[in-house]
Amino acid sequence: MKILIVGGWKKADFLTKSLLEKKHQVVIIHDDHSYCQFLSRTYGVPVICGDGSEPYILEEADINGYDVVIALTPKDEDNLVICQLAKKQFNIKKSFAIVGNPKNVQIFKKLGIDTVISSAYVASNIIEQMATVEEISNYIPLDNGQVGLMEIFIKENSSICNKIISNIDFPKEAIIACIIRGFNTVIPKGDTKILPQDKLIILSSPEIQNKIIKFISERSEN
Amino acid sequence: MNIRDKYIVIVGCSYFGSNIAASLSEIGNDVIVIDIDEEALDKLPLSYSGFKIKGDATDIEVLEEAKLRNADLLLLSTHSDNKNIMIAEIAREYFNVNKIISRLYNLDKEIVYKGLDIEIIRPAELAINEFKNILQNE
Repeated sequence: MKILIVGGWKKADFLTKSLLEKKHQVVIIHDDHSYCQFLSRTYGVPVICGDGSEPYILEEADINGYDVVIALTPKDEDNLVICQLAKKQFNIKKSFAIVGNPKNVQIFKKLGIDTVISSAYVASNIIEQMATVEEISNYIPLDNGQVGLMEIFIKENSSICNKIISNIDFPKEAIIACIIRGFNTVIPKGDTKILPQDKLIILSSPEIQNKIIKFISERSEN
Repeated sequence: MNIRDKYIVIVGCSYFGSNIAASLSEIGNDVIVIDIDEEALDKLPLSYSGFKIKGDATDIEVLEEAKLRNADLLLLSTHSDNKNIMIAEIAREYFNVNKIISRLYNLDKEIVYKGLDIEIIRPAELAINEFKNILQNE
C-alpha cells in the first residue's frame, strides 16, 4: 500500500520502519527540519518538510493515488484538516488520526475520519486494567476500548480448571478466543479441557470483565 | 447590522472577533465570547455587556458550557484556520447551529467546508479586492 504519514516523532519513526519492512511505500511530511533529515537519512523515503495541513505541502508530497493517510501531529485540529484534505482533495480513501483529547475519538469518526485513536485513552485503559486486577496478565483494548482481549492465568484451584469447555457455564457475553499452553496455542472447541497453568485469551466488552474474572478465579469446591 | 434579540456565540477574541462582539452586544443581542487566552478577552471594550468564557473551544465541553445548542449564530474568528474548521464542523454536526460563519485565511483549504452550509469570510480575498479598488479609482 501507499501510505502518507504526517507529523509524529517516535511514532512516525517506528511506524515507518515497520511499514517499510512489510514492503509498503511510505512518504512523510514533518514540520521539524532536523527530524526530516533524520527520517530521510534513516529510511531513504521521500520526506517533505512543512505543515501537512497546508494543501501546497500535500501537493508537494505527490500523494495522488495513495491508499492511506496517517495524521500524528500533536494538534487535534491539524490532524482533522490533514485527513479531510487528503480525502476531499487528494482522494485518499482511508484516514487515520490520533487525538490528544479522548472526547475527539467519537467526534472525529462522525466527521468522517475512519480510524481515530486516543493514546491517552488506550494507555490509561491498559494501565488501569493491569494495575487493579491481579488475575489479568495482559490487556489489549480494541476499537477504542469498546471490546478488549484479556489474558487470564488459570490456577489449580480455579472453578473451571480441569473442566471441559462445553460443561462450563461460561458467561454468554464473552468467548475464550485462544488458550496458551506452554509453547503451544490451542484454539478451543467444545471438547477442549482447561488445564492448570493455561493462559486464556478472552474477548469481551469491558463492562463484564469483572464478572468473568470472578467466575474464573472462583475456587472449585473439591 | 439589523439583528436583535439573538443568541450569538463568538469564538476567538481577535481584533475582528472582539469588535463584532461589542457591536452585536450594543444593539441588544445576547453575546458570549470564547477565547483560550485570558488577555485576549481583555480586548473587549467596556461597552460590551455579554459573557466571556476562557477555554479551548475545540473541546466539546466548552461549547456545551457556552450553550451552543441554543445559538442563532456562531462566528469563528480564531487565528487558526484549522481550529475554525474543526469547531465549525462540530457545530454543524453536533449542535445544528442555524447560521455558522467562519473566517478562513488560506483559501486553498476551502474544499473542506464544501457541502456543510457554512458561510466563509475570506480576509485574503477582501484585501485583494480592496487593493484592486484602490488602483481602479486612481
